[in-house]
Amino acid sequence: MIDDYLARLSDELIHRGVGARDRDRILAEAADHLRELADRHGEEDAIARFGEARPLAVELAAQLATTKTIRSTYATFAGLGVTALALLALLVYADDRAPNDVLAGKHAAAGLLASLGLLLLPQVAFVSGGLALLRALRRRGQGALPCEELDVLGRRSAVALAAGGLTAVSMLVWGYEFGHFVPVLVLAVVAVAPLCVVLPALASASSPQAPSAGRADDVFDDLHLGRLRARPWLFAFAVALSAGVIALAVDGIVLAGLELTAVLVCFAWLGRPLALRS
Amino acid sequence: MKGHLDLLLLSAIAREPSYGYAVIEAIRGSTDGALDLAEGTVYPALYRLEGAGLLSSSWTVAQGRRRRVYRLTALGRRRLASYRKEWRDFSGAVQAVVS
Repeated sequence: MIDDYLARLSDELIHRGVGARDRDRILAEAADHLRELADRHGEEDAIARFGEARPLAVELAAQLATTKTIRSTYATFAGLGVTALALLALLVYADDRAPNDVLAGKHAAAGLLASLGLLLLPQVAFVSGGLALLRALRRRGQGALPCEELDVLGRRSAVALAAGGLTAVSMLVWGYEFGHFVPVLVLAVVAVAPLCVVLPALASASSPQAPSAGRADDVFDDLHLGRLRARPWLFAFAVALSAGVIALAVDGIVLAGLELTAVLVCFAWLGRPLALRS
Repeated sequence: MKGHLDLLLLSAIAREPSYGYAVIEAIRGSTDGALDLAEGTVYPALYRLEGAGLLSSSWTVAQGRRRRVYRLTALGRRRLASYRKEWRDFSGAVQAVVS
């Protein structure tokens, strides 16, 4: 009877996307528990006391999905930290080596795109990864999270990871276009390596199924700005203006305009997937 | 009961590193059966506490079976102390009203 129960539990766990390693652990613990119970109460009573396989599998899958997603969020942010250090090293390296004209690369368009990528993509990575981290910290210790909430966390981490990876590509292209390929190649590898390590964890986090009940929070919950929820574009303009003012002080009016536009474009493009607006 | 599950589990494991069945038995035994947890549902809670860094676990072999033994981490000990204080404050306040 216990073996039949474990087979049912295994099927339910597979059905809910629980991977082989986690399944093996759960089944080993359940087998040990059931046999201890059976020694005292008999197999039938042991199974009754342990509980039905299906609801238990649902609860286990939900908990695993939550734990894995939150861990992969932390790992993503840590990986992006290394990417940021590599980018910082490039900025120091390029300080007196970068040409004044971004169109002076071997291919004008590629050099321009790489320069824009180096300006904008790290910001997308930082904002998306930061929002994912903020949500994970807010939700830690709250038990199994609903599917929608885990989806938001996963999307924020995925966008951050993709932007981080594209930052490394931009570094590489910039190095090639402006004649610093070998030293920049080393930095690009350092930038992208931790993201490659994190990628499988992020991919596997979406496998176990969480319950669909419950809605996901949005950025206004994250930042305690509930009054702005009804006017998300006002929030977007305020953020864009702030970014533009900082860029104006540091880089001049052209980059300030670019920064302001980029924030608004990103809000329009990534607003819904990243739960910045409903 | 569910709100105090973490306190119960951490307290039981604080006495000695333990495994799922023994944790439930310890809680049941300490309360003369008054707290009789549903057996299977202890595992999601243990995984959650482990995921939060409050517990660590490792495999041993007992009676020819693989057994996962849980122990408190340093963070788990600190959190347990905090939960115990919260519980003392709460139960003291309730006691003051009902007695």
